Amino acid sequence: MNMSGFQQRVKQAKAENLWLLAGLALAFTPHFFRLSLLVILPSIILLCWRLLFELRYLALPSRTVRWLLTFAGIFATWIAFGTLMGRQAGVGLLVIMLCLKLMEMNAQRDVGVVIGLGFFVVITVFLFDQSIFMGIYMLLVVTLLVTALIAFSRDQSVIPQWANLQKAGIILAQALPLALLLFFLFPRIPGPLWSLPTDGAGAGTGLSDSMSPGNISQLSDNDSVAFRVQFDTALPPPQKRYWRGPVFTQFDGRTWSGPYPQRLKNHLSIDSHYQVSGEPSLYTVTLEPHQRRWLFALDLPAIIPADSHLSADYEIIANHPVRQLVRYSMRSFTNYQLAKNDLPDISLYLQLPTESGPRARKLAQQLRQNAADDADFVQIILNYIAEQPFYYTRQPPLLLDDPVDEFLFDRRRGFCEHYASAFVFLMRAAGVPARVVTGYQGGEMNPQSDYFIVRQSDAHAWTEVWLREKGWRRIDPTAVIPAGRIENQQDLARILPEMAETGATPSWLKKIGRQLNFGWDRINHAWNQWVVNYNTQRQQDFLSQILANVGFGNIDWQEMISLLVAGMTLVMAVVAVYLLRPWNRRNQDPAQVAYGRFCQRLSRHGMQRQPTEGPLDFARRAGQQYPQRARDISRITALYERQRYSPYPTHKNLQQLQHAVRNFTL
Amino acid sequence: MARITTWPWRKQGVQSDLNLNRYGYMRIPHTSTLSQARRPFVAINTMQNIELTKQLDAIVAHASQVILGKQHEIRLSLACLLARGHLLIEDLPGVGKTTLAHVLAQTLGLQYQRIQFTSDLLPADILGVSIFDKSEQGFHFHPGPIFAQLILADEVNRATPKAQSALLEAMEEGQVTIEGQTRPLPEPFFVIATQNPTYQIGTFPLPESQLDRFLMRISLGYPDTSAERALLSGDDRREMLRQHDACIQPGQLAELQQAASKIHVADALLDYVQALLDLSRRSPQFTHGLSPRAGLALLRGAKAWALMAGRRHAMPEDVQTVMPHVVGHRLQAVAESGQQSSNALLALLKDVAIP
Repeated sequence: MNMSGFQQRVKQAKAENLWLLAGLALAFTPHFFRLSLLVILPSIILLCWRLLFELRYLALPSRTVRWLLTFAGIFATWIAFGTLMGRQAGVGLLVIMLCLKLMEMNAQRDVGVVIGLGFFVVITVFLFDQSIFMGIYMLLVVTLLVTALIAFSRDQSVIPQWANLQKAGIILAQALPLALLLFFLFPRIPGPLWSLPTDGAGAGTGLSDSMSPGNISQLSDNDSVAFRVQFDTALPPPQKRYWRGPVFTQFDGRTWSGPYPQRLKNHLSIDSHYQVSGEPSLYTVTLEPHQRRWLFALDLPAIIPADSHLSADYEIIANHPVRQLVRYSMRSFTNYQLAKNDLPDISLYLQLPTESGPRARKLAQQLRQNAADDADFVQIILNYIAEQPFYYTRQPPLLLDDPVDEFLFDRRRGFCEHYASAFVFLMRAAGVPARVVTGYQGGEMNPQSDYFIVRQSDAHAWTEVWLREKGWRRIDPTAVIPAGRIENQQDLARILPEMAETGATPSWLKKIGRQLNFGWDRINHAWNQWVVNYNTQRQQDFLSQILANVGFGNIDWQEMISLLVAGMTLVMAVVAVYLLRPWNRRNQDPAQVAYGRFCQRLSRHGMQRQPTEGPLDFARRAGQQYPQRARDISRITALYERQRYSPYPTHKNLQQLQHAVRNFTL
Repeated sequence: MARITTWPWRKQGVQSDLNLNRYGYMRIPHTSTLSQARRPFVAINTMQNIELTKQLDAIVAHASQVILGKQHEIRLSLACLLARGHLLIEDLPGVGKTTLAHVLAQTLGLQYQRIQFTSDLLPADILGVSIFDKSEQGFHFHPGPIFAQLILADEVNRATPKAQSALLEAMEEGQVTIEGQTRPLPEPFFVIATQNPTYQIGTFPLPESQLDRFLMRISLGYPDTSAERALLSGDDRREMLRQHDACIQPGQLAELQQAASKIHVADALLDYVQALLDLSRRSPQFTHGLSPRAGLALLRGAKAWALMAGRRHAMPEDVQTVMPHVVGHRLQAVAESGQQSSNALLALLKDVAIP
């Protein structure tokens, strides 16, 4: 033996168990980053223990120790999560108990149980992460588990292990058509099958439910996608691309927050306050989970998606925090007039903290006296911002005592939230109702596809001002800052798109990087559209669209089931036809066909001819089984033998054979 | 076409001249001498073939009287001879290897020579040597034991590779070259080599390339209880051998060999043989697949077996019967599989459907 001791141990270990351990270890790995160390460490130790047992370094624990370990495992889970229920604790318990099962995996049955549970662990991984990477990774894990299953059920001594892996790959590839069919056709249940437990709320990225200086600028470097939009109508012009989100009316001198409790608005569109003109924009938003309840829509939404409601400030608020990818169709009018004649709760929009911003109040009142009306006043303030040395910067200086005054008179450097905040302050100080609106502005088309990407870096804050006879007007105070005073090129491009065009062309490396970025985003988008967010509605749309092409209308779940059964039957039929290959019959020896029929007739009576059994052997066996038919059996066999193996097959002989087979009965 | 009147089963109440049923097929009864034969039904052949078959049965019956309970092995060795191949018997000492060789030689009327292989055996001991003859003032060739029709090379793996190769060369060429002069060996030339199991000490196992020279490898094994009882209670085997007469005339063996080579092989059977060869090459159980020569050997064996079963054509059953013996010493199971080659062989048979 020129093998080292270790190699020999690996060679002599049970291959199926090694495959299984590898599969389990990989299946656990994503969980290990999420669960408590109290669960992870014992699980890793148990896995290693089993591995050392397979390599014959260690024995498995005794029954008493196993009992103790089981209780310790339950206790550790309870300590780690404070409960045994819920997503995290449940998965933790599953992982640790599965590892404990390895300690008593002796019988064949145990291996089956462990492999089955391994598949279940794979499912639980998707409770946490549904990205495309995880999908591919889990496919690898499933391949390993299937390999273990194959290795487990095959004779190990003669099959090399790579052949098992290959077989697993082949089996999975063969299962693919059925899996696709089931995925697309199995009726989706409206709403989640089980609601995700609340412990799933991680820290979300996105707009928060209050706005203080620095809130939004911290998003400006975040390139992650906030949501994607597919437009059914023409893209609105850049200056209309305001995606409305949380609206703030309360100001405490530093922080803006929404009205609490949120005032609800029950009726939309049939609202005398809401007058629209022009064509609506129709689009579908796919919103990334952000753990809060806002849904974003183009200013101003005309319908509300299912499972959500509208606040008095025209915010769309989902009934549950957005913890999973959400997809909703929207209609918005970018030209609108809101609350034209009459503003209820006007005091809400005039509220100001009593002691803050004395200089600002003075300025506002002074300028208001010069203005003819409120609209004129708005213009004067905008001019003030444009003419005074205000800078747009991503690194605003820290504002300490009175943020509004310090910003307006001392620093004059700020991000959008500073401008929005100061602008609303000035308006309210002069008695003009105003509110801060946050959301996203702009976004970009994916040039490789047909959808629009809005990123966290597009987060923005602007204002709305109520003018008598005109209603709410959107005013974006940052838009008036001249290009020379915008420090960051990206911001410049966003705020003044026409200026960005003249900017220096980016280097080719950057271009390629951008293209790759868009390509990757496109894949992600498709994954979201077709896999993660393939829900009832999407299924309906997709299937109806396909069926419409062949002249059918909508489809309900019964029809889906029928279609599913039909599809699966079709797949099976294709497989069966391929396996049986009736077209090969034509090339077959007619004597062979006749003899096959004869064997089939016998097999119906339990006299099965083995594929490796020669005709003479079979005839002898069948003759013993049916002595009264032995004569016919021997005659048919002799005719077949002569036709197929003798040097002189004749047509007459063949006819005799066919005739004899036709008349053969048991 | 001679009328056949002396068939033993005619006594069993069959009235017609030929035991033909109305479909023109002849039933050959299941007599004790044929118990191992796979021949429940035989297509009617030319009378010549039937005659030949009868002779073969007689040879087997004769040999079976001496070597009890080993009819299948006797038939196999006879088939090997008919296929013009050489036979390797691998077994423990004392199970009747030598006796089998002896009885075959006797019943077939062949010249018999036995060479006991030992570790100091030289090629000249096998082939012969030229000795200076004083009276004739010249070298005179004294042929070695190889110049006989049936050679028993006893315990061939006891000898050094050099001595082994002298024998194996003769087997391959049918002639020997001694001191520059080529001398033909007699016809027919049939070698039965016996080999102790290679795990016995002091042996030189035959290399694979030389094992290939043997058409078949069989092992006799212990006799079953009743055969052993008959053996123990019966006459001295040596005595019986002496009393034995040849069953066939000189020259008839060549006729039989000729008939065996003319057995028909249908395309369907070739398909089957090819499928077997193909699987042996694809199967991960063997270190290497079967060579084309092995395929030819398989067909030759199957044809001889078919002749012995009284057929004019070979059947898949014939291939299946001879295959373990033709192929067994040509295939080597993968070492790590830990399986016996014979098990792997059975798997090979089980994995190939008869087309």
